[in-house]
Amino acid sequence: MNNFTSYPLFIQGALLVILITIVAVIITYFYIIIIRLKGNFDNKLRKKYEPKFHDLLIYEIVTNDSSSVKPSDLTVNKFKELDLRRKSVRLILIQSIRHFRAQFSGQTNVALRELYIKLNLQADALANLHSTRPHSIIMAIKELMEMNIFEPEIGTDSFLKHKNRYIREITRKYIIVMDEEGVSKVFTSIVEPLSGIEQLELFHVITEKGTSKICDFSNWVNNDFPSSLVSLCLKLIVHFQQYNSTPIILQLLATEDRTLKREAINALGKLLQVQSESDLVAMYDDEPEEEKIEIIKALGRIGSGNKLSFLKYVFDNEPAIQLKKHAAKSIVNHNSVGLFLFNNMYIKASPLNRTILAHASNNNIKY
Amino acid sequence: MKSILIIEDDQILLETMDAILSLRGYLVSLARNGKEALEKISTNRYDLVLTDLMLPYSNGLEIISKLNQGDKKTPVIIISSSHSEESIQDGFNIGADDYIRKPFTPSELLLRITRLL
Repeated sequence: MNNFTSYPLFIQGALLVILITIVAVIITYFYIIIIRLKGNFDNKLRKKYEPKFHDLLIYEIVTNDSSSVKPSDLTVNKFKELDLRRKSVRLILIQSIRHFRAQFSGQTNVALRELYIKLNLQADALANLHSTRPHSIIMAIKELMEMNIFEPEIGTDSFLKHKNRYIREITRKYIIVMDEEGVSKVFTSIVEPLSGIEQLELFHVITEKGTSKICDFSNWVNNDFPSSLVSLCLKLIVHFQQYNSTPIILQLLATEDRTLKREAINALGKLLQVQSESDLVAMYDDEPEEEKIEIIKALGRIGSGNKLSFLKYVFDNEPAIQLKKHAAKSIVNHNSVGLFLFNNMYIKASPLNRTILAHASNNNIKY
Repeated sequence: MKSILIIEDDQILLETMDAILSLRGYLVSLARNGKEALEKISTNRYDLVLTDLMLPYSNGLEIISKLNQGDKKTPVIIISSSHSEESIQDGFNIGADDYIRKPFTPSELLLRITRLL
């Protein structure tokens, strides 16, 4: 130590850096060795136990012709005899059961879940919900979702406001899939904007759900919620054809948010809301071109015939080619109701207008 | 004893179908990939073939067309996951007789096999 202090300061600094580097390399190597040893150990365990679990699952569950979906105590004991006190062994069995469940439906699928519950294999996933590692929490929620395990007292609701966005995402999916009131719980918890992919995933999960009651999505169509959530709800309203949401969507036409306004107009068109036509026509003149296009398209989708003269007016008088194109297309979309008007317009049209009308009536030209 | 060739790259599913069919008295052969399957098809005759579509080396469609090249047609059942509808259509177009969508029940598998044998 005396020698060390006698060196010049920059030599002391260099020696310290060298020492720290050597220690870091030793720790890294030690860490790599530990991971490899653990990997080898896990592989040996897998080689030893996986074939036994597979045989038991195949011959005791899948090919078992018993009419009961509940595995017998005898079957459960056969699994218990295979050292299930060890966490690594339990993990191998859990992975096998999940894999089998992904391949088989019906009674076999239910029996595999019953076996999982009887062996209390969910205990590890439930314990991992309290882990400090986000990855462990995510994997635990995935496992519980796959195994169809849900109890309100598990406490996953608190993850809806977790700081980690991936935990929030998987929790939303889990609660929507598992909880009867899941959509309501999830939507009410959303305070931050949803990304496009989050909206898409939620839309997919909700529309695939199928078995439970569908909630009224217009509950979230107001300024208290992020516009991305309102946008998602509009799409869900259209998907589930919730016509009673029309008055709330009409209120949204007054919003300052132009994207939302366009989506509201689009939703009214897709819901074929004839009573909204007058509102759409009344707001037309004050709107920018993009909103005008949405209004014209919505009138074409509704196709009542009440606003054909308005569409003709737009076609004849709007200087913007985009508006003319969409007005022509909306007249065509009225089918037989608009046919007489369309033919008349075509006969009297200027060469440019005639080209626009020809394009509008050509099914191969999409816009 | 009727012979069945199962072509499936998922080891668990392969073993399970082997057990299900062997217990019912079928003579079962297994292939884990397209190459292995083509070798078995060229040297043996089977009463029925169960094949996945997504396989290493050669896909299920190639195997079905190979099976239909001979004089005697071998019944083929496609085992498919839900996201390959176009491939299933292609399978029917080149001569598959039936298909089973994963996940399925063991009894469904047996019923469909019995129908074709």
